[in-house]
Formats: sequence, structure tokens, C-alpha cells
Amino acid sequence: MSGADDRDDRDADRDFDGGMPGGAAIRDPEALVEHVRRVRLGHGANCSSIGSVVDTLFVTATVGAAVFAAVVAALAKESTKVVPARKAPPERPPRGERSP
Amino acid sequence: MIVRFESWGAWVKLESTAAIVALDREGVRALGLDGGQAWSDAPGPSGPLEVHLAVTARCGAGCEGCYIDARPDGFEPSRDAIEQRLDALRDAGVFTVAFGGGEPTTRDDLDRLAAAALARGITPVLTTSGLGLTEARIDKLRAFAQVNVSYDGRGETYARVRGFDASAPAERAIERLASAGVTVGVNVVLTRDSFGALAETLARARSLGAREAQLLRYKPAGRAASLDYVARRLSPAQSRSLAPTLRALTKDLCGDGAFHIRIDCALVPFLSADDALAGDPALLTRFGVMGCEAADALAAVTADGRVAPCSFTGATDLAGTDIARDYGFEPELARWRAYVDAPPEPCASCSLRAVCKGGCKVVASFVDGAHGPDPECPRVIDFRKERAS
Repeated sequence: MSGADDRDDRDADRDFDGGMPGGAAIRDPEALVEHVRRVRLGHGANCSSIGSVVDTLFVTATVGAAVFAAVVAALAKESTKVVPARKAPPERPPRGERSP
Repeated sequence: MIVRFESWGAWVKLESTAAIVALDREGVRALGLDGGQAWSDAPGPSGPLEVHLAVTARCGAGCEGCYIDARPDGFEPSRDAIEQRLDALRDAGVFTVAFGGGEPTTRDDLDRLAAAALARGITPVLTTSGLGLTEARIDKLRAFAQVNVSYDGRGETYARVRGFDASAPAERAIERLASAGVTVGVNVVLTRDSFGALAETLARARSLGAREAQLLRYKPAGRAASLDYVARRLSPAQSRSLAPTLRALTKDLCGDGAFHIRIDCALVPFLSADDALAGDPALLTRFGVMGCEAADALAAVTADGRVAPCSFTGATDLAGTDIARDYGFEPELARWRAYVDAPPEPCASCSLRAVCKGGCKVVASFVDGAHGPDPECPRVIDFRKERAS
């Protein structure tokens, strides 16, 4: 993966909905892999168009699986902060169901 | 990690490693979380995941193909104005903000702007030409998660893309940033002239300390929206060879995991020429490849504070400070999303449709004069040839 994000507690001002310690509720981290629908690696730093890491498309299945295992391990250990749900103006219609 | 609930589950931004993850509802529940109202209400609009924020329209480099036609006397918003926009991006649930311009390093408050983004839980990254990037200026970039330097190749290759050779200062900037401990990448614009030198360019960037290269399709916007575009864009043969080229580059440069290659949204349609990738769209989905996400996962905010579908398009009337409330409803942004939801052929039946999302609408608008299928996509070219015959 490209670069560790070594931020400390600089998210302090974000108005998060509560928080919980990492991994507290995960009984079987390995089983979480099947619920990961997408992994986007890296930050990217291009200011004009959205970019996607593609070298992962050409690696072996073993290396690809290791990427997902690393992500799940991170999911299991990190503490959680939730972005509050936004409330849409009631007079406007929602748009349709979209997948990630 | 930061969790943003969606109707289908949640986007999760990890903090111990640079990645964002889409989890389905079961996966979210396995974390001990529940989407609550986001899962029970009718599906509603989502905010962008990544926003490109122009912190200045000022730049003295004069690149021939500048997509925003930046000039030395360009408009520059105040820090207060930018922080108000960052407030709105926070409220919209944005994960990453890419500071650009113009040349963002002409500002002397980038350290404060990066801190302002971080304080709002948003990861700041930055793009620079690298020109005039002194040690003092680099010191102000330490809080950015990544800084990308525009680097299209050495000497004449660089000059053919931008109209002048500034590869030496760009190389110095890459080295200095890496030496300072800043995660540095390069942006490489692919033109007919630079494509052939790509292997050399990326190897050189890696040797200078770059950890990532983002390959960018040349686009007809700003000063590049001219007849010259037709001569500079990738040839059809080059477009079709993108996937094998990426395969070879991965083998040569990425084996140790210390260097990664990205492609931009506008290059995704070219992957349709590769049988292996076109036959396995789930692979692209799982590794988060994103095509045209304009007005959806991606948005731009111009230097004068208006929201655009992406950096290459005209701005809407929506103020950046209203993005959290009105992103899902602004008519022009909605038009972009509606096209992607129901594209015409050949996109409608393309195996990569859900990933590619119809290719680059900026190119389509310039070449065809309409918001339609990407005319440089190999599949679209073949479709049109077949129909014409």
C-alpha cells in the first residue's frame, strides 16, 4: 500500500457521532473479507481527476488476497468514528439507489 | 477509522493505512455498527468522497495545456473563504481534499490550510508543478498526506507536453520532498509524445524518491481545448495498448510494493480493449477502480467557490459552502449522474460500464459536441465503425 497515514488525533474538530474502540465487536475478522466490496488504496494527490491504483490488477491472487487481509486487519483494530448522517431537504426528491 | 453510512452499507476511511473501503451492511454490522436512518430511509443523495479544491487560479508557469487557463494574475480566495468551503466538505462527509490551482504553492498559508483540513477529519493532498519549491516552502507541506509533482518525462519529453522544459526543477522538487519525508508522487500527462517514454519516466521518478505515479489522460479543457488537442491526444493504437503497458510497468517497477501506479478516471475506458480486464469487471470493482465519477464520488470547487462536476468542466451555480445540503439536487450535477445511470450503446452493454461510467464526458463534449459515449474509447470506436459499415 502506498504510504501510511500516521495522523494522530487531528480529527478532533469533526462532529462525529460517538466512537468505539477498535475491534471490540469483531468476532471473526477473516469472515469480514467477504463483506468488503471495494478497496481503494492510497491517497492519490492529483487535483484534477480521480485516480485508482491499478498495479493490484496485475498481481497474483495471493498478493491481492494479502491486500484484503491487511485491510481487514486494520478494520479490526482501528477505533471508529461515524460521520453524522446528512438530512436532505424534505421538499426535494431523493435520487435512486446507487451502489459503491 | 471514519465511517460514512450509505444506503448499501458504508464507506470506511482507514487511518493506520492509506485506503478507503466499501463494506456491505453485513460487514458494517460485523464492526458493531448499524446504519440506522441511512439504511431505513429511502435512498438519498450521497456527497462526494473526494473534492478537488482550487486554492488559487494564479500560476506563472504558462503550460500550453493548462486545463483551467491559470495565469499570473489569477484570482486567489482568502483563507477564511477556503476554510468555509472546508467546513462544508466536512459536513458533506468528504474523505479527501486535493488542493490545486493554479499553482497552490504560491500561497504562503498552505500549512494552515492542511491543518484546517485535518482538523475537520479530511485528508489533505496537493499537486504542484514543483517550480520554485524551496526548502522553506517544502516545510509548509509536511502535513499533507501526499504531494504530487507534475512530471511528464525528462527534457524534451516534458517540453513537448508543456511547451517548455522544466523537468530539472521538477526532479529537484521530487528529491527534496522525498528527502524531507513527505510522501511524494508524480503526475504524468499522457500525450502522443510522452507515452513512448513512460517506462523511462516512471523509472526515473521512482529513482528520485517518488512512491506513486498517476497517469493522466490529456484532456481538451482550458488552454488544451483547441485543434491542437487532436494532434496531442493518444493515438488509437496507444490507447489500446494501455493495459499491456501497465502490466509491463507493474512487473518492472511495482514488484517490491514500494511504488504504485494509478490511472485517472479518463483512462479507464481504454482498459476495455484488454480481454482479460474486460472479462473480469469484478476484479476492477474489488480494487476500487473508478471511471467517470464527476458529480458523484468526485467533485471540484473552483477558486471562486462554485461546485463543478470535475475540474475539467464548467462550474455550476452551486456554492461550495452549500455542497452538503444541495449536492444531490443541483440540476446540472443531477444531469451528469442521470446520464451515467442510463447511458446509450455501446456503453449500455459494456462489461465495464459500472466501473467506467461512460468514459470522459469532457472529451465527448469537445470531440462530438455532446454529452455522450467517449469517442476515443476503443469499444466506442469499434461500435461506430461497425455501425457505419
